[in-house]
Amino acid sequence: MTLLDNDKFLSELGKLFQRPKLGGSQSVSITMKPYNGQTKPTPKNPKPGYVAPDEHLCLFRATSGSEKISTVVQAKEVNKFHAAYSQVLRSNTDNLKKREKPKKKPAAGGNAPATTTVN
Amino acid sequence: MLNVFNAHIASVHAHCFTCSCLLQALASMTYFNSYEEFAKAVERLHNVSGDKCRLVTKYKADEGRITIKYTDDIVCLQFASDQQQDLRRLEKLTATLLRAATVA
Repeated sequence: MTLLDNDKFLSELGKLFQRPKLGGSQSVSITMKPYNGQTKPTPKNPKPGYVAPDEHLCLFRATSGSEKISTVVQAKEVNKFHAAYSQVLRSNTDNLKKREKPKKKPAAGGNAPATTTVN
Repeated sequence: MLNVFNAHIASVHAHCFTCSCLLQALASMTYFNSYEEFAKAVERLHNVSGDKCRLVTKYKADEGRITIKYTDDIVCLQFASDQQQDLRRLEKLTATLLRAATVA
C-alpha cells in the first residue's frame, strides 16, 4: 500500500481509473474511514505515560487490480481535497447513464407539463 | 425496516463472524432500493458507530455501475446505481462523512 500525499494520491487515482480502459482490472474501489493517526500497534499493557492516538483524520484508500494507494486527509485540507476528489470522480466515471430528460410532447395546443423522473 | 435491521444484527451476532454463508445469504438484502432510505440508514449507523464505519465506493467500468457500501463490519448498507445523478449524491455523502471524521 503506497502512502502518498493528497495531491499525488489524486493524480494516481486518475491513473487508476484509466486502467479499465487499457484492458486491466475493470473495477476501481475507493474506501474512506476515520483515522486517529495511529502508527504503532496498541500495547496490551500500556506504560503509565501512554496516550492513545487521538487525531481526527480521514484515511482514503484506492485500489484497482493489484495497484493500491492511500492517503491521509487532515481537517484543514478537507475542502480542497474534496473538491479535487469530486472532480476526479466525475471526469472518470463516464460510463454511467445520464438522467433522461423528459421529452416534450409536440405542441398540439399548449405546453405539456414537465414530468420529473423519480429519484 | 428497523425490524429487518435488528434481525440482521441479531442474527449476525448469534453466529460468530466465521459464518460467512449466512452473511452471503443475507447479502442481497443489504441493497437499498431508494437513495433516500440508504442515506437515512447511513446517518443512523453513523450516529451509532461512526468511528468504526468505512465508506466504500466501487466503480465497475464494464458494467457502468457504482456501488456504495457503508459498514461497521456488523451492519452493512449498500446502494448500487448506474445513474450519473447518484454520483453527485455520493459526492455529497463523501463530503459529509469526510467533515464528520475530521472535525476536531
